[in-house]
Amino acid sequence: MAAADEKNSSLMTSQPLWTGSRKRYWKRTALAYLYLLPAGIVLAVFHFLPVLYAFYISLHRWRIRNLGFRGVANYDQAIHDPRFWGSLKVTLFYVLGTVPFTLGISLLLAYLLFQKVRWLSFYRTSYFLPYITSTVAAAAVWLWIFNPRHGPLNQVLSLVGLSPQRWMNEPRGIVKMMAAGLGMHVPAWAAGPSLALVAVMVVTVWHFVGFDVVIFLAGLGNIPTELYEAARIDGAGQWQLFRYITLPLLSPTTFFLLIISTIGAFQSFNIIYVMTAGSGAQLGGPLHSTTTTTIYLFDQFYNRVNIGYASAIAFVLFAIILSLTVLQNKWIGERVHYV
Amino acid sequence: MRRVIIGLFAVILLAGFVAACAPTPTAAPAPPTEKPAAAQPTVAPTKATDAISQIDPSGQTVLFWHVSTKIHEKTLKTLIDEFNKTNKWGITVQPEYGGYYPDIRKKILASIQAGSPPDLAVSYQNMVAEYAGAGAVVNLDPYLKSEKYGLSKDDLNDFFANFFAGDRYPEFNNAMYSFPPNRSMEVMYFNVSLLKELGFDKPPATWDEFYNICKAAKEQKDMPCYAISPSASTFAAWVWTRGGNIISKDGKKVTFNGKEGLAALEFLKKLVDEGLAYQISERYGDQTDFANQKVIFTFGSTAGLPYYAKAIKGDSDTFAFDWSIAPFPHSTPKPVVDVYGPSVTIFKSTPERQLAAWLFVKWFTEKKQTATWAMDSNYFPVRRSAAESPEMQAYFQKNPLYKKAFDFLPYGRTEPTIAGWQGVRDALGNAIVAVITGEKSPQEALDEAATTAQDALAGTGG
Repeated sequence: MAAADEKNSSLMTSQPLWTGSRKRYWKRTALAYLYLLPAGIVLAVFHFLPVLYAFYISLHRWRIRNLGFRGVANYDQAIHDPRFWGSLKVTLFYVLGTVPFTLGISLLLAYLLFQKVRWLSFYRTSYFLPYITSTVAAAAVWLWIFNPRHGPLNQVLSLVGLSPQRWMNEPRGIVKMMAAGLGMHVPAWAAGPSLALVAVMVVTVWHFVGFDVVIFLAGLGNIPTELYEAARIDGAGQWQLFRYITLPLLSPTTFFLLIISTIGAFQSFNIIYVMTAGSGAQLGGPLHSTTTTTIYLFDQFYNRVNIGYASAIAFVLFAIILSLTVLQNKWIGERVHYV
Repeated sequence: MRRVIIGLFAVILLAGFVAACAPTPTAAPAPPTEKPAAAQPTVAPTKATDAISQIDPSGQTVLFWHVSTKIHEKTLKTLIDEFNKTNKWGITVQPEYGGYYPDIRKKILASIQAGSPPDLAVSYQNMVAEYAGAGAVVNLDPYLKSEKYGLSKDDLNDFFANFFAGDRYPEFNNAMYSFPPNRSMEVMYFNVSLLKELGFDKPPATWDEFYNICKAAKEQKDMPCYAISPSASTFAAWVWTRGGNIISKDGKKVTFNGKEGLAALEFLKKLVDEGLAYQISERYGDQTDFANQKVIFTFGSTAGLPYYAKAIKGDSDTFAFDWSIAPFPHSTPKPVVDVYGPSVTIFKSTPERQLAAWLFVKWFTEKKQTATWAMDSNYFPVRRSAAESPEMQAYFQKNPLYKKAFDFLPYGRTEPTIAGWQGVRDALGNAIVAVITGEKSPQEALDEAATTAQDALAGTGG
């Protein structure tokens, strides 16, 4: 990188832009844009145009065909749609129930793996395996594990004397279920995510831990060993090493993973789709308790053919993700320590 | 500064591109002129005067998207081959597998947007209502009436009337936008042997009898009686058999939230609360449980008869127990059965191709072909003459339960053929789940379903 910069600057100094003729400058620039053109066209045609077109659709009443301009009516509809708000609540549960757990578990695993353990590459591969397994295939296997009647999970529960659960068929919130177990009653707003959604979260965490572990391992490797040695000489214990050296110096990695996991969780689709609609049950069911915003969007687009409305939802979701990322950057980004 | 200018330039270019591109897909393909130019000399020597009879379908190719796989696809292709070889206009039908219903629907929706739908496709009626809403479907009434290419009075009387009723669309002046080659019905499956053990010699005719049998099963054998597969068709039948209705005739107003709907959900709650019924946990779980004698009753389509038979037989050649089917228990004077099944629909193209597609549909539902197709698919023949044919009679004899179901047809009733029906179906299915899991009381579940379903009917979404 540095070498390239040097070369560049020497190029600049030997041939300052404005000493040559204007014509020559344009020629060079045009050449540069010509090189950029192929990638530019691909980006424009497959990324920007569809986005702009989707925005155009979102301003119309569009059921199979364009049925006329609606202005911002689709956006207005979203704001007043209780099911849309419900889907945001489910999404929030999903994000909060997957991102921190995935990060926490994978940090722990990565830290353990980074110590000089035997069979390191074996473990690393094992943890990475779920990530490279097709989500669709894995979700189908998990469906079997969660099967209320022949699934191994309920068999284990009965072995240890717990009552079997309905898992993917259970629309009741887990807080409500636990409270009911203790003979208490909680109001509807405090019912928590449904057991079905929790099952989906478990699979999501399982799937993404491997990826995070690998990234964390790379981050751990970037921390200079001298720092650990110096701290040890100063008499720091294992916990202090972790708390005051590993954690802060790992923060760029943690921050990166936090951002991409949050965005990923907001956009998550495959696992939820396969674990609900894939078994022949209702998409986003039972009782919409696993209908995240992406699932709701899909439902509106394909099943209800409210294509304009679905496009509007996509843009609202985009706005939410964008502002969250900006906020994360502002609040957490400032606390990141770079080595 | 330069960068800004270039950026601006790029944006303007892009915007121009978008403006040029965007509206194109909205330009609907011009509706084909149904009336060909009068200048065309009359092809027909007959004195047919209707517009359709003036069209010459010779040499047309018809693209047909279907949903049949395995042996059914083979039968379909054999029939199509026969049509292609024998029809006097030299029409060629090209069959193409379009995926299962949700997939063929997506494919058709996309093709309508792109302005290139197939000529003919298999779809459920509420799907057809969606396509019709986009103006993509041909009204078959003029074709039926056409002197040269239509159906005679005898033909029309030969078709079962309530099959035809399921292909008329109240949102579009009751126009006939589809045609019925496939029909089955929702029935109650029951275990005859278990009923006998409990001391009952016939299936329950009323919902009270149904409850009494369940109670007896619980007391004598400590077993549930009914495996519930939450389905809107089942809910519809629960309401109908109590004398209620799902939606108004014009398809605009929800009516299932009356006392019959409430009675249905309260009955369901009673069954679940007393441990007499439970919700299945995987697709076709009710079939499996029925085959393993874990329950006495299930409700499902007659199209499932061969699959039930297979599950009950298992590895052996004979049935492990006696079983049969009956109409749903009912408090109405006569039974009511939900008759449903996918239809075929013709998409707008050219007058010649539309006519060619219709001629194939007409041929496919003739006596011999409908009998062949019924015996292969286990759907019912759509014509009386086909049902009375010797082949069909022999098939009835070999499949007594199929024959039994066929005899319920006079009690048949069809589900609404409106675009919002899928939304209503989801609402009904959710009401069942909400009551089973105890998330909502029957009244709450019913009210919520009614609101959701009414929204779906209004179709105000963008």
